[in-house]
Amino acid sequence: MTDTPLLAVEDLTTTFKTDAGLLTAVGGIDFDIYEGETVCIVGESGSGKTVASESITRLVPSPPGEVTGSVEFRDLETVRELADAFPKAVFEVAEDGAAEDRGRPVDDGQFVVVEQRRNGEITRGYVDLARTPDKALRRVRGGDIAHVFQNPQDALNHCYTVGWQIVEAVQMHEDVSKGEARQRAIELLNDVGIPNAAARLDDYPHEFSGGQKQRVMIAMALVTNPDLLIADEPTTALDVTVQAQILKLLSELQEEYGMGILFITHDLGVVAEVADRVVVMYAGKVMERGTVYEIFEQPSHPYTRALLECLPGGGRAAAGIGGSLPDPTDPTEGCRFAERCEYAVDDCFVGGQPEEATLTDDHSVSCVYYHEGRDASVITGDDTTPAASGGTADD
Amino acid sequence: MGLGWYITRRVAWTFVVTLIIVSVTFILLSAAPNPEVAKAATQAALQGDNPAEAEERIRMIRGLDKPFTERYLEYVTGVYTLNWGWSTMNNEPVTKSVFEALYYTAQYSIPWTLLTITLGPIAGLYSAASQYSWKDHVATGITFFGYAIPNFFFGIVLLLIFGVQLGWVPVLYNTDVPVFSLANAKQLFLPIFVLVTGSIGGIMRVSRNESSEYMNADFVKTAKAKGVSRYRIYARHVLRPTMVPLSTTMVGQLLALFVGSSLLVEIVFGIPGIGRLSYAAIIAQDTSVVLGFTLFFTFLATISNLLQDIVYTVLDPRISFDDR
Repeated sequence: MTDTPLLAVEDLTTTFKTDAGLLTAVGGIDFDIYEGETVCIVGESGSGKTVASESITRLVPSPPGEVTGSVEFRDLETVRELADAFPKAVFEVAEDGAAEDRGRPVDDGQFVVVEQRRNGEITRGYVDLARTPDKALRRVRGGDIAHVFQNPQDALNHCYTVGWQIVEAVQMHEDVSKGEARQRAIELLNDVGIPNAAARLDDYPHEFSGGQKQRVMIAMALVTNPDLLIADEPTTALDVTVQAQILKLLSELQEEYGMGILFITHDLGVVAEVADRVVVMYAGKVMERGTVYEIFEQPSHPYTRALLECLPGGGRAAAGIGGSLPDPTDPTEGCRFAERCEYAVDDCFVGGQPEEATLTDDHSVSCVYYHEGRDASVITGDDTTPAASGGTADD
Repeated sequence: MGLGWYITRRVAWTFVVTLIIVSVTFILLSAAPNPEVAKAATQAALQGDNPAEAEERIRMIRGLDKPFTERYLEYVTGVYTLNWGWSTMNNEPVTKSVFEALYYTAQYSIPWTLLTITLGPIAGLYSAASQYSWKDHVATGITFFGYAIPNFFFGIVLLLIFGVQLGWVPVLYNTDVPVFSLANAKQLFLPIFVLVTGSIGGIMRVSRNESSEYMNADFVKTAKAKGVSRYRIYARHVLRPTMVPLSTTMVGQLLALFVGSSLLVEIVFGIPGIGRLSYAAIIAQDTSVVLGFTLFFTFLATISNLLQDIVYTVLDPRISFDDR
């Protein structure tokens, strides 16, 4: 693991203008993804995880959607490519050699930030995807950051052969002949385990099963050897045996291609299987984050604990968590989960979402019980829980 | 077997369809009083001759004295061998009248049909791409204006403004100008314009609704995630599935326009095409000609429907006629 993340998301906010008012689907979340690791965003349906994943490359329809915040993509090749293609959009932070000053461009049109150059070549920098215009973003979409979606039944265009659709993906990013692109498509279909790939290339999506369609989607995502794969509930629409196959395939491909994966799911069983680190989301906010061990062994937020208890054998399997998500057009004061939280006290209903309290280097939780002067063992039910260090995320 | 076999059978089916229509028209016509016979009888009476004798004579000349079945067989073979009878109005074979009229109708019909089927879906797509914005409202407003205003009225107004007041286009249609000439383009501009504005509204509206269904479809999101540009998404990923239900509407609407509006537009602009011929034939009670263009429209309708079915399989591979 290098010390700079591949993707650093800060204060990502996605709102939609609707007839009922401004709907805040993602209310300012932060997370990092490092090269080659798998980060899972978990949360119940409607918690904003899909919108968050689609906000990274701004796939959310706009209007009515609007994405703000910063999404730093630190793949050097991409930074260099976009700096060459859009010289006017480059913002130089510091002179040669120095990489310390992390100033931000004032001009909204500058989306390529160069932090360090050696002999004229960029050695450190990022592209801020949240401000990148569509024209430049197209090179990143499907090129450096690829997507696999939830429902393979509708994710492929029923009017074209799968070969045509994979070839299109190849030719969007590389200047190759149709024959070469087809050859690549066959190799990829082989890679994702479609038998008789050369012949299946000219078949239409409706001639494939659900699991095979998802394999085709994965093949299409891999055409340009992406640095980051965003998989939005890729196994939800598939039956359990196929789910296991797809998860296995993804982890094999991750090893082969060395890509980071952002995995969106509501299934904690899947999380346990694939994740390195976990971000727990609720109503557009981050409740807790940590390594997969920390989340499963020492769940610290009441919401995380409730989710885990909902697993079979967790004691709450039949009851579930009472209540439902708050109205996204009318954000409540205080912690988003307060209304459904069995430990809620008066402090939970004032201010904004509680600041994240740091438990360990990776593990932090957004809950007032971990702030100074409160006893978190009320939630965890024992006193072996590491004491909250200070009370704010800044420690 | 596949598509070829399907087309063969559908073409054969058109013969059956025409046979049924021909039979029904024939029975109706033989039951109705013959205007020609009545006219001959009246004339004979006026000249002091025996009307019954005159009636007999004209029946013999036209072969009406033969038994019903024989006349029916003769008539049916005539239809299929392009012997559609004699036009009393023009004093020439009906086929000649119909084909001559068709020559003028085609000159403006082919351009307006092509314009409508290309511009209609594009206008709808444009509206759907910016749904509920001012662009959408302007596009919808313009097409609805064309849809709502009666073609013949709009034609008269335009003719008054551009023909009479401004003198940019000739008021009278001239059959002597060559087909591919500026003069012909000038005199056909208004009828084509009127028909396109009249037909584009409905098609644009259906296309807008159908394509807005696909604008946020999952496969469009996939295309976007692949890095496909906006315009390529519209042209390749949205337009094609939209065309499947749209082609049905288009065939229906264009056929209705062919039969209905062409007639009025031809009369307003004085084009001696199918519409004006059929109008004149109905007024003159020239039954053979009326039957002639009935047959022509039957042919047109069956062929259009066949084309539409073939277009389906090309546009949407999930629709297959292999096992039909």
